[in-house]
Amino acid sequence: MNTKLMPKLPLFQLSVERQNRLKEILHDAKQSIKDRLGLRNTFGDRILIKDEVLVWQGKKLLFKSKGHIVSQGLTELVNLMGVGGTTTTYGTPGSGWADQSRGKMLVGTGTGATTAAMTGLVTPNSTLPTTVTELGLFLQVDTTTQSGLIANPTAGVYRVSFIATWAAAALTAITVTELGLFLQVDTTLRAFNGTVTPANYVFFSRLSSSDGDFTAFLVNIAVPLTVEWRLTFTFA
Amino acid sequence: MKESNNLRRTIFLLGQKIKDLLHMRNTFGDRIIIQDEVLAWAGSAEQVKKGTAKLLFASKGHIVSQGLVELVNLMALGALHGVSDVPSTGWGTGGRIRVGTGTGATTASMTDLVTPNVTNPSSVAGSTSNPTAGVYRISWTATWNTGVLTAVTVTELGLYLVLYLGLQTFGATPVSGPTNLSFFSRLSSSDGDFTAFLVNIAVPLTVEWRLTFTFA
Repeated sequence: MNTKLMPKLPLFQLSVERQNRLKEILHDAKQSIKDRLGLRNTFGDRILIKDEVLVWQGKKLLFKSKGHIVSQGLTELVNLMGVGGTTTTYGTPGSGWADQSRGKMLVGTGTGATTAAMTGLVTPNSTLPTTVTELGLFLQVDTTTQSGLIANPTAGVYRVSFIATWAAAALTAITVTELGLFLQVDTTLRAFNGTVTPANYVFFSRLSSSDGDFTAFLVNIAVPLTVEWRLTFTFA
Repeated sequence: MKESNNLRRTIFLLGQKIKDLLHMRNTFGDRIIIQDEVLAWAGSAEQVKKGTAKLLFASKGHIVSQGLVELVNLMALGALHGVSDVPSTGWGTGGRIRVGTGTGATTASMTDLVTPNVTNPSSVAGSTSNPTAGVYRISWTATWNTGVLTAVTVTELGLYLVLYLGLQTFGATPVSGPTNLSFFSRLSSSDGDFTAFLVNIAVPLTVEWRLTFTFA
C-alpha cells in the first residue's frame, strides 16, 4: 500500500474510536485521582475474595495461611455470574461437599510453586478425609468428615468454609508439603447466557510450602488432622 | 488452648504479611478482585461494536450487599432451586439496566435506585470474555433507541439481576427460587461517579456494565 496517497489526519483530529479510548483513559485517571483525594464514594466498586487456610493437629492450630486459587477456580466464578443455567441443579461448587460425592480435600508431598494453569497437586496423597464407620441402631453408618458453613462475621464480610478431617492414623506419617481444595467446577469459560456443565473433584486452590505458605510438616498420626479452607468475600 | 490458638493465628498472619512484603512468598491467587465498571455511549450497540459511537463516560459502579451475598451463595449452595436460577438468566426480562433521576450516595443496604425511570431498554446483549491472561469479564449491555427515553437528566444507573436475596445455608437447596430484577449495583452522580447528563433524544443510549475478575 502506498502510504503517501493516504489522507493524513492532523494530530488533533482523532477517529471516534481513538477519541473514545483516550476518553476512557482520561476518565479512569480522573476517577483514580478523585478516589485518592476522597472526592468519590468508593464503596462497592471492588469485591475482594480472599483464600485462607487453617490447619489443626488435634485441637492445636498448626498454622494459618493464604492459598492460591488457580485459573479454573477463577473461571468458575465468572461462569456462575454469566451463564443462563446449568445442566443440573447440583451445579454449584458447594454441591456434594458434605458427603464427598463431588468435592474433596487432599494433602500432598510435591514441590514447586503454584501457577495459574495447575489442575492438580504435584504429588497428591490419595487418602481422602476419613469416612468413619459407626454402628447405628441396627446398621453400620458411614459418616464422611467433611462439612462446611457460611458465616457473616461482621457487616460486609461473608465467609464460606470447606472443612475436612482425617482421623488419627488415617494418614501415614508423611511430610505434607502441599494441600488442595477440589470442588465441582466447570473449567471452560462459557458463553454469556450459556450453560455450565460442571465436573466433580476439580482443582480449585492450592497451598504449598514451596510458595512459602507454610513449613512442611510431619503428620502426627496420634491425633486428627483438620483443614478449614475459607473464601472470605468483602467490599474492597 | 483457645487463647493459644488465637495468638498463634495472629503470629502466623503477621509472619506471612512480612514475607509478602519482602517477596519471600508467592502471592499469586491468594486474592481475587471483582471490579465493577460502567461505560455509557451515545449511539447504538452496533455503533459501539464498530467504534463509531461516542463514549459519554467510563466509571466504576457500586455493588450493594445483596450482590455480594449472591456471590457467596453461588459458591456454597448444595443445589440451585432450578437449573436456570443464576444471575444472568433471562437477561432483559429477569434482569436489566435502568436509568434514574434520584440523588444520594450509594449504601450497602440499598435495594433499588432512588428514583428509577421505568422505561425499559429497547434491546439487550451480554458477553463473557478473557481479554488477557488471568483477566475474565462479563458484560451486560442495554440500549435505549432514539426517542425511547424522554429528555430526562440521568443522575443514577442500576444493574438488576436474578438473585437469591438472603444468605443461604451451606450445602443446602434454597426452598424458593431467586427474585427477578434484584438490584445488584448502582452508579450515581452523587457518588462522584459521573456528571449528571441530559438524555440526547436524537441518538440511542447504550450502557455496558462490566464485572472484571482478576487475580489481585
